[in-house]
Amino acid sequence: MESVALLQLPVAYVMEQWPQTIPVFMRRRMACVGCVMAQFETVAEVAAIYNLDLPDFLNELHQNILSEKSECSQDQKVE
Amino acid sequence: MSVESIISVLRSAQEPLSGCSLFSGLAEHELATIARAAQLHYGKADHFFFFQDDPATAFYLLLEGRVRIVQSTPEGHQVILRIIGPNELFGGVAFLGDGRYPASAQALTPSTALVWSGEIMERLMEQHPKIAFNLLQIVAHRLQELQERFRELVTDRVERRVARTLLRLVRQAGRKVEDGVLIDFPLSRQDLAEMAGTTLFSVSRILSGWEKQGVIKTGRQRILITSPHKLVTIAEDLET
Repeated sequence: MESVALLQLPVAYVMEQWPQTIPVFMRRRMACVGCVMAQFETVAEVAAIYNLDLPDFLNELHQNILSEKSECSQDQKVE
Repeated sequence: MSVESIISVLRSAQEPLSGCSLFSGLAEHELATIARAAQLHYGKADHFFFFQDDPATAFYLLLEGRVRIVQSTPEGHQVILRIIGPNELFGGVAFLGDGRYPASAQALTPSTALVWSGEIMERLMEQHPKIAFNLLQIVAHRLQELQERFRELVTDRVERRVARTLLRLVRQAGRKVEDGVLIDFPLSRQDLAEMAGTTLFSVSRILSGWEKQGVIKTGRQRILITSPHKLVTIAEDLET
């Protein structure tokens, strides 16, 4: 997936599609997991809210998405 | 509304908060019987579907709109117990309880509901015990929610209670708009006070403070959450 597309996805969608990304949020002590607002805020928005290093954050999300790709590949609708 | 379209509504009607459905696990012919027994009830904004203390004769499933369930005390205080959205039941607890509605149900926006008489619903439950089981699940979820609200009333500061009330409304009726997340139905400060168990004065003071901090914007009976994250940190008592 392109970084640009990932940036624009709501974080709830990212965690639902690729549950292996949840630790990435937890490790940074972000409140996104289980939060009602996660359906409205994009990856780019939460990165700004938490003052994250964006390339670093995206890179880690990508790595986790790819790490268990076989399990989730049927559900991948976003390119 | 045709019987077919009612059947398809019954099949897909899932309560948004609990994910429960009153008619899940029923066969097509059973849904058809239930659909034929239903009546359609339409109410404009402010219309009362029923009043507190009226004999409880019917059971409602909201299709469209918003309905507030409001209880008044003999001293004239009002409490909003719940706001009902599409696919949620109301009136059911009364019909199973002591025979009178413990609260009134008033439309906040133009609303349409399917209605079954208590007698019919009782007969349907005897014939299809799955309905009774599904209802039990729905009631259990509502009880859990009420317990959570009770704990908030006993332990939480007022500001946090108001924040949590807004988050609950977002879960039920939040819509992403350009500047943030909008609670998409008319909601007065008095409504919020009655839901959070506090006074109009406190709600006004808290909302004004949040507006100054850029957490929300308020307009004519509308609340726009411009900083969702900040509201969550208040509701959850997180460090910022």
